[in-house]
Amino acid sequence: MTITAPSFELNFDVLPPEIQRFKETVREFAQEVVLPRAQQLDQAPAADFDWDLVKQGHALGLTRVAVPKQYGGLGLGMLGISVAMEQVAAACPGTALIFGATMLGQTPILYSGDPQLQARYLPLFAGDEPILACNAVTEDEAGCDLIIPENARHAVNVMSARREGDHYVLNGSKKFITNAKFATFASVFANMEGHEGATGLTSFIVDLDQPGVTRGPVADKMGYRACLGSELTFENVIVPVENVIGGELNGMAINIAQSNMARASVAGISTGVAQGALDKALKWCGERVQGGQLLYKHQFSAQKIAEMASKIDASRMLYMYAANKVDNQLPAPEYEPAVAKLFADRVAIEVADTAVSLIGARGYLREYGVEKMLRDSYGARIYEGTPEVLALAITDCLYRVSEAE
Amino acid sequence: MTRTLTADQPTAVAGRYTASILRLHERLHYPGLLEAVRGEPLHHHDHGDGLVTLAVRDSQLPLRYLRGILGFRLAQYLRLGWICPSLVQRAALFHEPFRPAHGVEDVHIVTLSAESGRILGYVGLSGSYDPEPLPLDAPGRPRLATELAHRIDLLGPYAAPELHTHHAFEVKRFLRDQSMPPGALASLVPWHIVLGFGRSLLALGGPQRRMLAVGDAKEEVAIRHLTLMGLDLTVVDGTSPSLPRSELMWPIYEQDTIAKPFVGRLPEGFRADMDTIETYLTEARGTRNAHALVEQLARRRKEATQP
Ligand SMILES: Cc1cc2nc3c(=O)[nH]c(=O)nc-3n(C[C@H](O)[C@H](O)[C@H](O)COP(=O)(O)OP(=O)(O)OC[C@H]3O[C@@H](n4cnc5c(N)ncnc54)[C@H](O)[C@@H]3O)c2cc1C
Repeated sequence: MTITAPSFELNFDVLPPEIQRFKETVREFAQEVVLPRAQQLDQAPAADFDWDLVKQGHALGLTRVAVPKQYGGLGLGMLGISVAMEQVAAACPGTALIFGATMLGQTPILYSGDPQLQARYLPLFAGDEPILACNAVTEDEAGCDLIIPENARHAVNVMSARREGDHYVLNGSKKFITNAKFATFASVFANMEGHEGATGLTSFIVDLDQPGVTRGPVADKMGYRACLGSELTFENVIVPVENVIGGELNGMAINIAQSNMARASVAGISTGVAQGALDKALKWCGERVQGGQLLYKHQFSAQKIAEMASKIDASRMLYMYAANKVDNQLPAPEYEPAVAKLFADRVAIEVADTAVSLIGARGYLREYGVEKMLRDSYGARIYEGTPEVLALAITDCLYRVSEAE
Repeated sequence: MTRTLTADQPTAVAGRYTASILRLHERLHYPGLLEAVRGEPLHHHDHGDGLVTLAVRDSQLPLRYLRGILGFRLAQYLRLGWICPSLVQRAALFHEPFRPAHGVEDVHIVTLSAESGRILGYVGLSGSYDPEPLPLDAPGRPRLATELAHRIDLLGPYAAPELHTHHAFEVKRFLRDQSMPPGALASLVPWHIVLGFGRSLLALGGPQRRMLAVGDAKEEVAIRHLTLMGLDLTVVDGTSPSLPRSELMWPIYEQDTIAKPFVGRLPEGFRADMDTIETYLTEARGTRNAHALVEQLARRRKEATQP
């Protein structure tokens, strides 16, 4: 009997050759350069930063993965970014986020489709010296309210913008901004004066080396210690009109679009964290003998390992599927990246937790590095959409579909 | 109210755009350029004076670096007021446009800071567009940019059986990083560029020195330098060059001093002149004497012109 089925392309084993090659290069960098330094970066004081690591990553193109080739980038899109983020995160998610946050800072510029804005900013990443960017949304009093459209009117004390002639004046501050300490420019969201809460949110590209910008102290985080998160304060900062993305009052839409584009790559980071934890658990369970046999041969351990591996494969497929959709659909979809991130973030925590348990007391020690992965695993559950924010986005899509039917 | 803008009054937006492009290029450094060159460069000078000079063909550079070089050119043109800011802004340029694929590859002579990889000086030699070489006096021969701007036939008078259009190279204006502070290093940049330029001409001309360097330049500046370095130069007087206002580079011909077109050939002693400049550049810092070098070169020119 022959089975005939409609043919369609869905092959997650075969990446486009350019992305496959890039993945391998990044993997080598992650395993040989990042991993040996991960422990030290984690234990160092909060404000320590490894520029050499950034320089090496930049040389591979990690600061310009999605930047189109015409601007000197790699032009590998969200799939390229996500795959690369998984590889770096398997060694150290904090290091991955240095590059990830830079790409987030670039996203509104890419999204704008404005050739002048792109020409002014994107070639910065094509030099031999690394340049970082950042994405500044979160504030002291306004967190999720700046990313949930329905709640925008409830946001309080949001950073303000007012137009004066051919420029805007920005006042306010942002919190927990990855790369703010060193970034050359930031994608910044501020509320137009006279608009309630964050209903007048507008997206700006702001040069950070200018009067009125203050980079605050570095936050002492539980994980992701290789990347630095700090406050950014803006005091009468001048931004030319050309640096508005998508026009006044469209900031929330830009923010959502940006998140839709970026979430697949964060799911890539979480998948990497899970993979890194699984790798450590596999090694241990393949060497440790208890009860007369290797740990992985005990059925309870075997089941744990099998569950970990299955979850990671599922995470990977979800993020690759989402990233591929982002690269091929305009506007970027909301549903698939949110699903991928929701799932992968949870898997990272579960897998890291199981890895700590499989390794026993050593899993609880700093030197084995797996407790770091557990601490790190919580990070992605917070940035670029908490589970609650993602749930709202997902259900929004589900009900939108059924209402349309 | 309707506001009319003339092309020479850039809008505030164009001004901000170009200022931003200048800032962009100030941040870009290329310490990896040297290692990225494919194959042997036409010229490579690195003798520990803080500068490195390379002469390479288009295809020897990864696109990222080529864009960087063309970006440096655009930035200097903007600083010198040789290119139209409004057109640059409207076309969203961040580097001088690539020339479409053409018959003979361009050569780029670049001087970089050895320490930072910042581009400090540049001169280019543009190769012919003709897919197949044409006699210099071929009817309907596509004109070079200099010929078009000056509305003259520069190559025709040099027609000879052994010369064709693939032997003619257009000299792009000598450029030095305008933001570089004056000092010992800054004064060495032009010599590095001149040496790289001369060595490239020799490489392109081969043993028979079969090549023509065509271009335009200001008499008191570049033409004097080209003569001093030993090129056998014919300068054409009396042209009034201009470019239509739709051309990016139209302001270059609206400067106070008019550039004159020239054709340069390689005389017999040219290699020796280059050796002299090279010796000067390789001398230890304290012993280098630019005045002595200029005098030596000038003496040679005098001797060469004396019957
Ligand atoms: C490692 C790391 C890196 C970061 N990098 C950046 C960065 O580069 N740029 C940046 O802008 N921010 C960054 N952040 C900040 C992050 O984006 C915010 O912390 C996040 O958006 C949540 O905001 P919040 O902390 O103010 O929490 P809150 O908004 O106060 O939320 C607290 C809790 O309440 C829940 N909640 C809030 N609103 C609702 C609701 N309507 N319904 C149900 N539950 C709700 C949330 O899900 C969360 O669980 C980073 C954070 C971390 C941990």
